[in-house]
Amino acid sequence: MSTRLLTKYATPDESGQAILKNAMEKLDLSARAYDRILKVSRTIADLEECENIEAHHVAEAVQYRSLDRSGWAG
Amino acid sequence: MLVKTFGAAVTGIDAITITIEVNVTRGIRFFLVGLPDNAVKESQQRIESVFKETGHKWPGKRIVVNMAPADTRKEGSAYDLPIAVGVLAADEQITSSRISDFMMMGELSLDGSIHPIKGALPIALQAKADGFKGFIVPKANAREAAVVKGLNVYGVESFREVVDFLTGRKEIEPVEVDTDAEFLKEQARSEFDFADVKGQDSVKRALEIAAAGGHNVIMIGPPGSGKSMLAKRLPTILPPLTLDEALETTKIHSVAGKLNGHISLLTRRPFRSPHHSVSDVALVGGGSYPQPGEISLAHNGVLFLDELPEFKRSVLEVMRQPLEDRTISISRARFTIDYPASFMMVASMNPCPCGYYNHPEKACVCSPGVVQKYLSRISGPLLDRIDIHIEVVPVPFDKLAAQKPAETSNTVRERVIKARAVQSERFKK
Repeated sequence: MSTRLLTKYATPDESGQAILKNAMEKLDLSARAYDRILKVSRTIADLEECENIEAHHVAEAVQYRSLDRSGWAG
Repeated sequence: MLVKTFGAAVTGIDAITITIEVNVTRGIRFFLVGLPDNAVKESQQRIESVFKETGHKWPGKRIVVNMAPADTRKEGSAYDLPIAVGVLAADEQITSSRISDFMMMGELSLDGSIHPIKGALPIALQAKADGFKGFIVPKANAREAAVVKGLNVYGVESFREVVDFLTGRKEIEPVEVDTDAEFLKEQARSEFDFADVKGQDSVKRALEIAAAGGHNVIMIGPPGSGKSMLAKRLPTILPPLTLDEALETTKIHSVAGKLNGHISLLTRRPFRSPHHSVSDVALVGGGSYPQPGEISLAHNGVLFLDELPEFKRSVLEVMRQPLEDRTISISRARFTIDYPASFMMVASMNPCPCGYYNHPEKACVCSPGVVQKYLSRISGPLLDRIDIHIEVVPVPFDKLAAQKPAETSNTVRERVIKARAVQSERFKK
C-alpha cells in the first residue's frame, strides 16, 4: 500500500489519532513504524469488517510493537 | 547441410528461445560458437559417446554449431540433446521434417540416457508462447512442464527414443496433467492444524492479523513455549494459493531444480525455514550464475527464521531491501536478474541467552547487560520492518492438560479470506 492509499484508507478517527500521537511520543517510533502501525490497524479493522479505523484498532496495533518500547529488557 | 534445432536459456525465472544452427561441411574440426560455457563445450565428448552407443557415427567433417542469439550466455549441460539431434540431421544420418517443430532440452549420459534439467516450467511456457508444437524433456521433468496448457510435452528417457520419435518410427504419448484437478486435490490436505496448539490465544490472534494483512511477525519467548509450533501452522491459516501464484512460485522452484519428479505444481504455500548458519548468498540468492535463494523459494509463502539472533548479522541485513521491495535484483557485471521475493517473514527468538528472562516461574541467570546485548544483535532497521512483535508466554499446566478444543485452522482461515476479500475489493476501485 502506497502512502497515498494509506492516507485515503487508513486514517484513524480522532481518538485513534490521539492514541497514535501518544504512542509515537512515548515509544519514540520512527516514521516507518508509524506507517506500519496504520497498516496493521487497517488489517485489524478489515478482520472486524469495519469501514473506519477506530481507537481500539490502533491500540491493538500499537501494543504489537513491544520491542520498540525502550523499557523492554531494562 | 544446415539444420536448426531449438532449445532455451533460463535467465531469472523466464526463458528465452535459443536457436541451435548446425552446419556440417567438408573439412575437419568441431566448432561450438555463441557464448557457450564450459559445460556446453564439453557436450562434444558426451555426444560422441552416445553416438557410438546408439549406432550412429560422429561425422568426420567440419562441424559448426552456432547458438543464437550469440550475446546470451548459455550455461549447463541441457543443450546436449538439441546439439546431438542437430549434428545427426545435418550429417543426414536421420531425415525428419519435424525437428523444427519441437523445442528440446536434456543432458545426455554416455550410455544415451537422458538426465533431468533445471527450469523445465519456464522453458515450457516460452515454448508455448513461441508456438512450438511440442516440448521434448527428460521424463523426470515431464510432469513439471506439462502444467502448461496447450502444449504437448513428451517425456523421454533415452536418446534412441528421441531419434525414433523424430523420424516417425515410434510415437510417444504426450504427458497429460489436469492442472485444475491436481491443484484442488492437493490444496486441502495438511498434517498441521492450529487446534494442535493449546492456549496461546493472544499469539493466535496476532498470527491471524498477520495472515490477514501479510505482516511480518517476530515471536519472543522462552524455550518450549510453542513458538516454532505456531509458526509451522501459519501456512494453514493463509488463504489458498491462486493458480497464478502457484505457477509463479513453481517457476522459481523449477529454476532452482527443487521440484521432485512427481510434483507438477506447488499447490500449498511454501514454508521455508533455513538453519541459522545460512550464508547471505543462500538466503537472498546469488552465485556467478545467480540462483534463487531462500527468500525467493518462500515467494507467496512463509520464511521462518528460528532463533533470529543466532543468524549472522550480514545475513539479516541483506534481507532489508527485499523485505520492502518484495523482489530481489541480483546484479553481475554482465547482467541483472530479478527474482520475486514476496514472502511473510516470521522470526522467533529467546528473550536472553539463557532463555528465561521475563519467565513467570523460572529465574533468568543473565545479567542485564547480557540481555541488552542479546537483543541488540537484531538491528533497529530490521526490527522496524517487522510489524507485529509478540511475547509468547509458556502455557500453564492446567491449560495444557485441559481437553477444551481450540479453534481449527479452517475457521481462522475463513476469517482471513474474508478480510483479504475486503482488501482486494478496496484496491480494485
